[in-house]
Amino acid sequence: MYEKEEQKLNDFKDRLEQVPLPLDAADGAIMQGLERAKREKMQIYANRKRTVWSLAAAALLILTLVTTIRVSPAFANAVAAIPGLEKFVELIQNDKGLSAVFENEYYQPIGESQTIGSATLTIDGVILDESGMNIFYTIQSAVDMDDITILAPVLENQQEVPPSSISFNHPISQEDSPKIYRDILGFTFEEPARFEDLAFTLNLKTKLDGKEFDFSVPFTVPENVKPSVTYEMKEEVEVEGQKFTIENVTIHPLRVGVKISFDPANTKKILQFEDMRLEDENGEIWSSISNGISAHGDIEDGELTYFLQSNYFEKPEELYLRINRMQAVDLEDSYFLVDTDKDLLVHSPKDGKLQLTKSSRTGFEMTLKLDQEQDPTYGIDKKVSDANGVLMDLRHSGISDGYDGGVQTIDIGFEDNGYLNPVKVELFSYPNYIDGDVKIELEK
Amino acid sequence: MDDIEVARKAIQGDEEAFVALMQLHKEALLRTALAFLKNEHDALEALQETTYRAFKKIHALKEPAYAKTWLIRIMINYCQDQLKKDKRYARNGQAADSSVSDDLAQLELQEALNTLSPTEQQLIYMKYFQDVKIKDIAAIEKIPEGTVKSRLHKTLRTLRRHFEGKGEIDHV
Repeated sequence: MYEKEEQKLNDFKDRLEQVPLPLDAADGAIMQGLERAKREKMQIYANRKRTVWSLAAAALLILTLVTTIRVSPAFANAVAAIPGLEKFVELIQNDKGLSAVFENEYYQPIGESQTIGSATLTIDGVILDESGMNIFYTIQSAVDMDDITILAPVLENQQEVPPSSISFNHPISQEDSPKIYRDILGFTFEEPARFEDLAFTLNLKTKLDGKEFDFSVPFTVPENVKPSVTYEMKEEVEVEGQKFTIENVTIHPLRVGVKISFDPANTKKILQFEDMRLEDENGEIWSSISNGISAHGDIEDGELTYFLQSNYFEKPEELYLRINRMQAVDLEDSYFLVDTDKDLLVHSPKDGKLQLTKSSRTGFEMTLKLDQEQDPTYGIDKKVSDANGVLMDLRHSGISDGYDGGVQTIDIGFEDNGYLNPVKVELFSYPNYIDGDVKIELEK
Repeated sequence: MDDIEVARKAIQGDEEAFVALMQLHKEALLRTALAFLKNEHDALEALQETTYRAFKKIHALKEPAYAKTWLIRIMINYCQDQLKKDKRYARNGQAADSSVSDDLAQLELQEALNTLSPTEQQLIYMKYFQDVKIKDIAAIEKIPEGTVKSRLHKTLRTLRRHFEGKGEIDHV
C-alpha cells in the first residue's frame, strides 16, 4: 500500500549502511561516556554519604538488589484507594511497616504544589509520627529528568524541627514518563518530636537541566501523630564475650527504634548488626530498614539507636527482639592506615583480606577478598582522617559489588590539601562475624 | 557468551559486560546518530552521551533480549533533543557530511521525516532502519501490535502526503 514510501526509506537505509564509520573513535567515545557515568555515581555516593554522616553519625544505606515481594491484597487495596499512589508502590512495598501504614490509613494526602518556570513540585502526601516524616513528592518538568539532583531538603515548622537524617534516592526517570519523577524524602528525627502546630514548609533545592530551583511549599498535615509506644528494657546481653545492653525499644508507625549501649570493656568493636529483628509468637519477622536510615548515633559515644521496620499496627500476643549475627572486629582491626607518599598499607586487619592496589596524594584503590558464600560488604569507610585526626576532604568513596573475581574493589578519592600521612580509615563494615542467640521478650 | 548473556550480565552491573554490550552495538548506534545528526563529530558525541545514559539506567532494563533496541531508543531520544536545541541556531553549511546526504531524493525524504513527530520518527527508524519486528516494537512500547500497525500506517500516510504536496504523483 505504501510501497513507494517504503522503497524510499529502504534506499535511505542502504545509503546509511554504506557510510564508513569511525569505529576506533567510537571505542574512545564509549570509554569516555562510561568514565563520566562512573565518576558521577561515585560523586553521588560521596554526596549522599556526607549528608547522612554529617547529620547523624551512623547511617546505613543498603540497596536491596533483588527482592521478591508478595503484595498482600489488603495493601494492594489500600494503595488502589489513593489516586496516584500506585507510582510509589515500588518504594514502599519492601517495608512491612510502611505497607501497614497504608493498610491502616495512616498516610495523609496533601496535594500542595508550587510551579517555578517549567517545573512543578507537588507534595502528594506525608506520613508523620514522633520519629520522623516521610514526604511523598512528585516533580514534573518540561525538560529531561536525567539531570535532576536533589541538593538540600529542609523541613520547617513554627517549632524547631530536630536535627534529622534525610534519605532520598538519586532520581532516575522512568522510561515511560521521562518528565515525571517521584520519590520519598525520609526525615528521621534524632530525638522524637511532637508538633503542636501542623503547618510545615518543605524547602527543596533541586538542580534540573543545569538550573537551580528553590522550591518552597507550605503544607498542613491534617491530623496529629498517633503516640509511640516505648518498652523500657535495660537488659544486658553477651555474644562471644562482647557485652551490650538493650536500653529500650520504641515502636513508632514509621519505624522501631532499638537503643543499645555498649560495654566500654569490650575487646571487639561491633560494626553492624546483621539480622536484628522483631519476631512474634508465630515467627513473623520485622527486619531492619532496607531503604533509608537504619541507625542513629555513633558507637564511639557508646550508644546507638538501630531502626527496624515497624509493627505498630499489629497486635501480637508475644513479641521478641532477636539478634544472631553481628559484624565485629578486634579493636586494633577496626581501622586501616595508608601512607600515600610511600604507597604503603601501613596497618590493616590481620586476616589480610585488604590489599592496597595503588595510591597517590589524591586517593587510593584497594581490594577486599570476598569469601565464598558470603554477602559482599556494603561500605568500607566510616571516617577518613589524616595523621592529625583532621577529616579528609573526600571527593568520592565506593566499593564495588564484587560479583566477579571474588574481590571487591574499593576506591577512595580526596583533595590533596597538604594532609599528613598516614591516612586513617575507620571501618564501617567488614566481613568478620560473631554469632550468638539473643532473644528478649518485649513485656507489655 | 551470546548477545543476550552479555546484556544480562551488563544489567546486573558487570562493567566489562557493559562495555562489551556497547561494542556489540556501536555500529548500529553510530548509524542511528548519523541518520539524525548527519555528521561524524556529533555522532561520536552522541555515542558518548548514550553510553553515559545507558550505564546510569541499565539496571532498569528488564528484558536482555531488547538491549539493542533499548540503546537505540536512548540514542534517538538524545539526537532528537539535540536537533530541537539546534533549531535555536541557524545550522551552518558544514553541519551535514556530504557522504550522508547528497542527492535530492534523500534530502526530500529527510525533510519529510523531519515533519514527523518524535514518536513517529522513532517508529519509522525502528521498523525500516533497524528491522525491528512489529511484535517487538509492541512489546518494548507496551502497546498492542494493532496499535503499532495503525501508527505505522498513519505515519506512512503522512509521509506520502508530504511527497504529494511536493508535486509527486502517486498512483498506488
